[in-house]
Amino acid sequence: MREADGYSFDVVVVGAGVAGACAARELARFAISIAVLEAGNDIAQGASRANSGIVHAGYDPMPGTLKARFNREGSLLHRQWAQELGYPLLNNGSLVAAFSKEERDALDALAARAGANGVSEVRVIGPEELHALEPRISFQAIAALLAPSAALCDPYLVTLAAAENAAKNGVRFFFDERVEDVQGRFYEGSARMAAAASPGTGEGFSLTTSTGKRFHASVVVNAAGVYADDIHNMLSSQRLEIKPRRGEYRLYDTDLGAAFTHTVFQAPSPSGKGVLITPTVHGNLLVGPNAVAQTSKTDVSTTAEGLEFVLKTAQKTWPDLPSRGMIANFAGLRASSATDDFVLGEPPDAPGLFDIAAFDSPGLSSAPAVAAWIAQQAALRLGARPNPHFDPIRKAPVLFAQMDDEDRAEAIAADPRHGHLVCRCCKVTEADLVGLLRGPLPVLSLDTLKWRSRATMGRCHGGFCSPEIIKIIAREARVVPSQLDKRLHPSPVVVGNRPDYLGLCDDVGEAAPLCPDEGEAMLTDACEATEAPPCARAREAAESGTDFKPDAAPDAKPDAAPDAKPDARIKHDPYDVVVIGGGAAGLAAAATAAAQVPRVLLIERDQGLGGILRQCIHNGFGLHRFSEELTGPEYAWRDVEAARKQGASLMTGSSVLAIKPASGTQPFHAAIVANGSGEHLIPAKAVVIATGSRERGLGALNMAGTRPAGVFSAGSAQNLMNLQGCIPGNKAVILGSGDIGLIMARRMAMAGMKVAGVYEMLPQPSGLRRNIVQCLDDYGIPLYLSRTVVRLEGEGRLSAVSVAKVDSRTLEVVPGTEERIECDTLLLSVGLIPENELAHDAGIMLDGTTGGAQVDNHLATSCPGVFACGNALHIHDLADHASREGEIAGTAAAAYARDVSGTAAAAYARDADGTATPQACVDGTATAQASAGETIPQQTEEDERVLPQAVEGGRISPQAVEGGQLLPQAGERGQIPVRAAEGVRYVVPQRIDPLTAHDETIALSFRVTTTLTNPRFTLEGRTPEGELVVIKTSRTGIAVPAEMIQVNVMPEQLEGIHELWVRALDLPVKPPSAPSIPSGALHVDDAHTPLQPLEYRPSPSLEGGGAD
Amino acid sequence: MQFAEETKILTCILCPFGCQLEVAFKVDVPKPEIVEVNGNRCKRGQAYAVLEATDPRRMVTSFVCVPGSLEPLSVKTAAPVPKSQVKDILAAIQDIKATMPVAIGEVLLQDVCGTGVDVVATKTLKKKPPTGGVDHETR
Repeated sequence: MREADGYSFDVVVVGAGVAGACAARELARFAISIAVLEAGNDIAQGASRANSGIVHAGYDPMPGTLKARFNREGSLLHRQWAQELGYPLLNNGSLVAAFSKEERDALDALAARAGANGVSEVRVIGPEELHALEPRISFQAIAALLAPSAALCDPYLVTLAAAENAAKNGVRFFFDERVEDVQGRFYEGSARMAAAASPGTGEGFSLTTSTGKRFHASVVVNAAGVYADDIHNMLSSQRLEIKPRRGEYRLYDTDLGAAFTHTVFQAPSPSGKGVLITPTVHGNLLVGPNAVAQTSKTDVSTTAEGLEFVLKTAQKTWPDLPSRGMIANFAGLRASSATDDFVLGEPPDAPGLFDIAAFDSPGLSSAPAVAAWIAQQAALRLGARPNPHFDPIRKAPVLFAQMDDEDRAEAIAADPRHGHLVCRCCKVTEADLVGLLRGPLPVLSLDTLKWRSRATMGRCHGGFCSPEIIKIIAREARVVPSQLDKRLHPSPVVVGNRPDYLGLCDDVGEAAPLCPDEGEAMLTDACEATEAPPCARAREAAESGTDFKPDAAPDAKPDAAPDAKPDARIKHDPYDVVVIGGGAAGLAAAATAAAQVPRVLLIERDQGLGGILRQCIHNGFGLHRFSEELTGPEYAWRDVEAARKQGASLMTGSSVLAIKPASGTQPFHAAIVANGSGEHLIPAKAVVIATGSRERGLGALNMAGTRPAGVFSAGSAQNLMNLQGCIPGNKAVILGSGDIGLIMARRMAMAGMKVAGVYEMLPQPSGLRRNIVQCLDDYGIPLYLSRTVVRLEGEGRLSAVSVAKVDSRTLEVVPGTEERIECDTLLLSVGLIPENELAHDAGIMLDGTTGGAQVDNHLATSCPGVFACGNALHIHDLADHASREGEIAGTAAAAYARDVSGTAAAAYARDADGTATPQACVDGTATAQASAGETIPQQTEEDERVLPQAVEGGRISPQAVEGGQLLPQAGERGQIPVRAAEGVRYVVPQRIDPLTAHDETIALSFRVTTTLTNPRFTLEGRTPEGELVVIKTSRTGIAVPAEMIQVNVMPEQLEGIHELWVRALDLPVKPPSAPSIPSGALHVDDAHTPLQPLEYRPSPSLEGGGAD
Repeated sequence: MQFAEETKILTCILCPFGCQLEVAFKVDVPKPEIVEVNGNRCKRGQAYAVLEATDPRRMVTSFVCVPGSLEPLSVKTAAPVPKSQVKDILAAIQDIKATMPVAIGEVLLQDVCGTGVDVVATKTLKKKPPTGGVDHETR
């Protein structure tokens, strides 16, 4: 064995893709020194990163080919490797669907080929079995080839696992070392040549890399992907030509991941090979690829046409495959050759060179078998003995997302940084990231960490977590943001940061104490610390060795805390109200609730309170609520102070992982919370969801081109600038005229960046007029309407975007109108999406249009006792309005909590006599045991506004309290559904609580679908007889989709109504001689005149404003 | 002969209509005066035009890097300042040297650029005792 000193090795593997990494792992079975040279800054940078991730069954290759042999062997080996190396392999089976008789015949040929290739269990199935296996498949599919042994893997993780195992067994990896020259000195015709070679004698190979290093080796394994021909041709006269073929993919959200269980191919036909639809091991849905021959070996940009082709072709398999709902699009290059077979092993004229070339599909499936074979061959050539120390086992890091509750508690106890959830979408903790940053292979780019941890791969597209991850990398790897590459080198994530950045980034993710009683993270606590709060008891229980499981309710296990007094109050020590989210809505909800009930807890994931207000350092907040103009931090400060004053407990640095609704076995709702002190269950009588929203990201836009650094959501750029003092770029284009984008245009201009313009797809701006004037006009930044960005350019950092005109009627891009704009930064301000993972997972009914929960006018969701407000409910235009909604939710939640207390008290009273089971809630609602009159708690006058028990004179319809139910339930008879009619996109609330007090104003918030220049809004009610009555009409000066509109109605106006509709119409504009007085405010004036016959017209066209 | 009045186009920001307001000035007098506002759909637009045409003012918000804190200190002018001076004020803010602790509302720079307006902190930054880190809470 040659000493691996300097740059001399027995074997040099060129390329750290799946072929190279697997070969390195297998070579490590021998007592030889091995180096892997990789041109990129991470493993799997080429074809291994961007492919379908399928371990093929092996029926497809022509019998007798290398592909046939190694596919079969490799697919079997993958099972063993997945066990040894700890990578996910999902045996889902594959289908090849036939849509015509000819294709049906082709399946028989494939089945025969499977037999010839030694692949068993493959058979043709008929339409019934096919549709039973895959109910979504098109009815045009008449048969399919079923291959049960096909499997799914994550090709990056396969490569990583093999590479890490190789590294552990002594293989050295060199990144950013592109092999530019290889020289070989051979003994002519000598089989023992290479074994005897040594650098001193000039025998063997000499490789020169892009950094000028010179590596010596006796054997070279050529696993250079699309560059394998270059390496090969430097050493062999038998020419090899790799023809890159690009394949484009559409990757969909996990929402769609369950649409198919099998990988579904299309039968090959004269028109092409078709595209596949497959779930992924991570639960996404992957669709693609096309096949485009190209000369470039670097261009992996996507095209609008290619992505459209993939969509249309895949719709043959699944006609309902949507064009939206995507996480990303990407392209990869297949390293194909003319012979359509792998090129493996030693060329006759270059002994010692082992090719793994032309390694296109089924390369991934074959890689383990090819690696084993190549390693054997190379070892023979070297005369190498087995490596007695080889350890085939790699222990994959167990990430927080993969742990169960018990493991999580242990993990946090071992490392409090596990309590800091950095990526909320994929549940990646700071400890996960730190562990990966210290893994066996270096992390040299942001994307490397993404691929290894999945952080930023979720629905927020990294909008929230990437600024935080950048900070963690700086701290751990001592790389400042302006030196940190996104993917390729150089692709800096930002262009500037403070000179003292490294010294200041140590404050990320410190452990926050859980309980109010315990520490400084709590600003204040209402409850007297005479009794331990539930979480402290959990820990006490843990310390004393007793069992306290997060998902077990305290009183389901009365012996959970044996040292506790048998006191019902301690056993039932829930918070009255737990508010999730410490932004504008959550703070207001907590303050309002705390004014009415004693135990209110607000849980915030960030270290500071205020949510997104913290980074909104501009003015414009509070005009409605405080009648003065504040900045975001000031506005948040007022609400924090108010919440403190009211006695709410405020817990920061704590992430809610799940809401467990009350059930038969668990009397209270519970929030499962992770923070530095562990994973905890916090019981609550009522829960307010105020989790805010996330930004629509790049992936959702399906933009073609490359995937360079320099593309930010407006919010993440705002975070990097205003909370970290970074400069995102030099010259920016902003897509979308949402307010955050406009605000950021000004911020960047103020910071000395050049802002080329704001491009808005719609014919009207999305942001407030005030922001257009004060952020754009003041700084000379142009606003282009009916334009959008269609393509990104730049291999490392963004170098240009293409913008095109958009047809204002169809909202389709107008071909041929593309214009190229050089820039290194693209900010996306293309809309917000309510963040409702928690609500969704708790089974709460969501509204498809708003993306938030369906609520009644007390903001009660379909789960009794759970309320929603703020941007989590629907997107607001102003923080003031989100806060007001928080106040409503806080009041309603407090009322609910008080009611539960009353009900519970009665239940316990009975329990004392042994007559009833203690039950505060059954199936999430108050039980009928506590019938009206018996247990109604004391109420103040104020309570009457919202308490459902305030029935006398307050109820709308008599059937509301039938069955003695105290609390309203979703869908219950008597609820009045509220629906959006013509011209209205949505209305919140979606239903009206029949037990609304008679003097309580019901506020309906809605948005119009299009600009109305002289709008009239009608509330129409439908009676049980089907009669339509106009309840009221109202108006604003103008209505635009960007601004929320609110109309108030009193319960008495809804008497006898079973259904409520909100309609928006555009009246002809009045002559200018009688100017209307637009309110400017969002509350509309009631029409001054009684209802006149309105001119009913069809919904206005998208241009709007055309009436005259 | 007529002496021409000078005109200025402004976009009204008071509602989403965004009326294009044409403001006409009489300039053949010692002090230019507004003689007419056109294009407004409501009365409030007229008042806005007069203000915006004669004395346009803006709040300025920015941030200052403070030693020992990665999170910058956000600041604002305590009142709107003449639009023409925004650039100078931004430069003046950049030169502010602040040290922790800073409390919300604290005056960091008096009478910025002679406007009579102070620059104040809009958040609290203070050292965290045990780690020397920063208290990010907006207290």
